[in-house]
Amino acid sequence: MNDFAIETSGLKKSFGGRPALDGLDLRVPAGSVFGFLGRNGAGKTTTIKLLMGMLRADGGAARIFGMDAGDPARNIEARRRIGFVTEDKELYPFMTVDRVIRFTRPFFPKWREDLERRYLKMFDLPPGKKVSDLSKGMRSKLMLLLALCRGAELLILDEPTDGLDPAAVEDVLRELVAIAASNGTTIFFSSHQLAEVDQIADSICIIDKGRAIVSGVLDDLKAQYQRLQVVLQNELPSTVRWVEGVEHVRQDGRIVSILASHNLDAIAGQIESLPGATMERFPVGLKEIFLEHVRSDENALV
Amino acid sequence: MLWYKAWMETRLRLLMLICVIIFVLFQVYSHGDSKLRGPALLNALEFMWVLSPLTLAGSGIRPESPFRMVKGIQGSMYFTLSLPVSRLRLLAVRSATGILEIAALVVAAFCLAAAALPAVRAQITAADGLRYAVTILLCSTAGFGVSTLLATFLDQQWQGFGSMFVVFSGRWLFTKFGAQPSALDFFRAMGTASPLVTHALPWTAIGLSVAIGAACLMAAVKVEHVRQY
Repeated sequence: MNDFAIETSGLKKSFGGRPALDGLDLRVPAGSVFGFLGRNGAGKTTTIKLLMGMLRADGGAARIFGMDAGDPARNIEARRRIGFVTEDKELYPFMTVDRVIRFTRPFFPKWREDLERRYLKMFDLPPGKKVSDLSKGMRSKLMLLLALCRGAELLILDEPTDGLDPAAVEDVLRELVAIAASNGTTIFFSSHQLAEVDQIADSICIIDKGRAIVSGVLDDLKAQYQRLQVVLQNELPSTVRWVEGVEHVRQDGRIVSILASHNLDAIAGQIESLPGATMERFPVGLKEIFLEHVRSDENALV
Repeated sequence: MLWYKAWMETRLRLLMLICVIIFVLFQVYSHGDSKLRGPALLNALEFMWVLSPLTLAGSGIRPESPFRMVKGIQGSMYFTLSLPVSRLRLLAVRSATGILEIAALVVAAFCLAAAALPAVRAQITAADGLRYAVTILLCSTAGFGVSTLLATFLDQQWQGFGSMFVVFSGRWLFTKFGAQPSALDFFRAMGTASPLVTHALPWTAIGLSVAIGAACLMAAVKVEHVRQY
């Protein structure tokens, strides 16, 4: 039994000399609901394609269930245990909903017919309708059905709720949590919807420019991170060298906003040493952690 | 189930080719028995048998549809690649389906001709018919291989143009620079130099076609093995 369903170390991939992944280190604990976050072009889909054997890495290693994802034979073995939702949610347009289910079922010996019936009803999917006639939301639902019914140990979901209405999003998120809780299935999903990630993920990784910049258990990250709002008597001296743990500093006149990830007591001590400084601490949510790390900010000092 | 997918992807093209066969047979019927071994008909048959493998070949991975503008066709290959099957198996099933369909076309052509045209029953012996069928199957492997290879790295519409360009360039080269008639000319072996005329199997042409087809299919396997999607 591997502790990690997915593990990458120093994973590199370039397209036309432009790095998409630049030494990605990622560890997805088995049984976790893992949110994979990043801006457009950060390298999320490239990572997923490398894990699924669609791309080959230029360097580093990727392992699924301890097996080398770059080895085609091992990757097939791993894919038998993976439920997958693609970013574009496209299926064979010439098949009907029923046919595409019947097509997919034999590839997965642990196919869950009980879930198939349940999701057909829950998602209101018309079995006789052609895939080409489905809306994007319905295609997303069908894709999810095909992934969730595989009886998979790992679900790799690339923007799984893309195109779904809010009610369907809630249904899907609830199902994902239920599957993870009841079967111990690992769920690795990328999303731009931070509220969704905040709602169901127990661990996250934020990726930017092909590197993991924040990674860990979400509750721990939220507990570690704090925003320190400092009001100074005078302007902040340009010579200040912040102690370790200061992730981001923004200044607006005499007001300085500091995002701290750890080492809070030392940071607070440094602030208190500034003449006439008063400080307030605020909890930080996932959205703020994400935005502070990936957003380019011309007012940022660190 | 991969067979089913391959069948779904190609069935309309197969139907279209059966319509071409019916059209050719109708031409023979309307021109009378004297045209049965005429060069016009034999050239039409050659064209049809050159066209068939180009139409029925595919990689099994890149998206295929009889109509290019079908919504959602492009990304379906990611779903295919997520299935726990090797790329070699995807290619093999798709190729085998194409070859079986060519065989089915040959059988359909003979059955239709024998049923509809009394002259065929009267003038073409069973042995010649069998030789012709074997020749068609084996001499079409070159075109099938070329088209399959191109399907591994070209989109469907470019695969069609590309394979027609390569195959008809080959046909032109045979005509321009080959000895006339050339024993290697597997195009003519399906038309004016077919067993219907020569009453013998064109082994040299068959050998060349099978060699080209096998080389292209092996190259297609290599390409698919390293291809990134």
